Amino acid sequence: MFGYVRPLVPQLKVMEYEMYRAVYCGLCRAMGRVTGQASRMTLSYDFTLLAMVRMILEGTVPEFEQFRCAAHPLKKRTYVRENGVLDYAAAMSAVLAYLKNRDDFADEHGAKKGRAVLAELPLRGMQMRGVRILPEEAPGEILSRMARLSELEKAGCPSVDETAAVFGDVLAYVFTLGLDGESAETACTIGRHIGRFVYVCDAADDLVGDIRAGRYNPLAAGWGDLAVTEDGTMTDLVRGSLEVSLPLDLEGLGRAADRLNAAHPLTPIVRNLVYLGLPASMRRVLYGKEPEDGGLSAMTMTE
Amino acid sequence: MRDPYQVLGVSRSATDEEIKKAYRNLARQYHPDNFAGKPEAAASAEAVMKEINEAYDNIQKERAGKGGTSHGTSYTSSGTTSFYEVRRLISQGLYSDAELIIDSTPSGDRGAEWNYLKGCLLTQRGYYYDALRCIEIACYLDPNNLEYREAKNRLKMRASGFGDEYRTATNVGNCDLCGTCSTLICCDGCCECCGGDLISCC
Repeated sequence: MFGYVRPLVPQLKVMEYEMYRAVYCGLCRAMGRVTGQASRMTLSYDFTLLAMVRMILEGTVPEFEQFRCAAHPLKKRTYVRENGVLDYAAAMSAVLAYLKNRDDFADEHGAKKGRAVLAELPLRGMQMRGVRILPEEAPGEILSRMARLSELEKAGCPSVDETAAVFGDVLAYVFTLGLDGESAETACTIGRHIGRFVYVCDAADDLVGDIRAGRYNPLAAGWGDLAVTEDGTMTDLVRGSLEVSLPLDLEGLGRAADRLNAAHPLTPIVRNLVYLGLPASMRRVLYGKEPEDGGLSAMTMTE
Repeated sequence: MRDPYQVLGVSRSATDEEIKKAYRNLARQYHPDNFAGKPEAAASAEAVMKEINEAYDNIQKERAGKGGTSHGTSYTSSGTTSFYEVRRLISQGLYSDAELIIDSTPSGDRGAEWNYLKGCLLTQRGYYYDALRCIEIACYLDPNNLEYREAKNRLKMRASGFGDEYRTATNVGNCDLCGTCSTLICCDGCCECCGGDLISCC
């Protein structure tokens, strides 16, 4: 969806990186199987996390296999073999991609609207195939939460916390569906925080563009004249506040990630993602591009 | 009132860094998020948290005084404004009552102090994005106010500690961890884990 939810690769063990890629490839193949070949174009990192978290919580141990895939014909790729969790993540990915596109369809103008119109039909097809393996009420539940979000956005809600919380609810539902007890609680916390984080990062990323285009942006609505400088960049005030509030919000996510079963092979990847990957995304959003050296100098610097 | 050093569980000779660390660990331990769904435990945790915050503030004030800079004035200046009642309610932990007054303040009277108090109340609720906006605006409107700046710095410090335990526990990066000093820091971290139960494996 957005690309903020990734581990900090240089800090993964080589084995962990291979496993992460295998989940990613496994999800891609699951999408081809469950929601059709075209849906593989919508593959995203966010749903890779969904798949990893659900595999940990459901106690699914990934089985690996090698395969030569059409997108990368030169070298065999390792992927995670078909399992229920991957199918679930694939179906959810299709449903959310469809609903997101419907939003764009209704709200956007110009080129983006054109793209949304073109994508509508294939996405609807994917969604219909995805829905088959999901509980009947799932699309409606997600839709009602998304509707609440667009209501707030239309009303120009000035509170980032309120709008972000609604998006957090969407992901909390997606992470939790079908789980119960303690796993459901952990999944819910993780989903909620990831949703909020992604939403706020997205708002910060789009701040300048949204103001220029006259679109709603939760940060712009809250900060008013203080949101951007005269030459059209994010002010230090906004940056300074996000630099503190984003990590504070992540504290709860850290506690949930610490509760994940430490013996599961995917847990170290999720913890890397939470503690290093998300802060790195935050820095990318607030300060622009990652440094040319991939951040290695900063990472090895002594404190 | 209890000795603030005792509240934080540090000795009087502790360095500023040690005090910060102790404060951060306690703040994390008694954070309201940990007690979701357990109202009774949450209420007592809130009281403890208040005591911890006061203790930390007191130590900071005391140490700043020793350092030669005096900033006692900023703590009394607020008594004259209409927000006196709000401060009283906050100090008693009656946040929803305080919020009622704050939210009914006409927009013309929403200056630096209003933003600061609103920020404090939002922090209490875990609305960090809006809270930091308010506190940032308070500092912007009244750049010389130490109370607002300190509130901001305290949150900033807590934020900068995000992931510290993870990095210490997994020895990420930092080649100087081989050094004696770092090993000592590492041991210290592990000891704290036993007491604070931050990392279940040690």
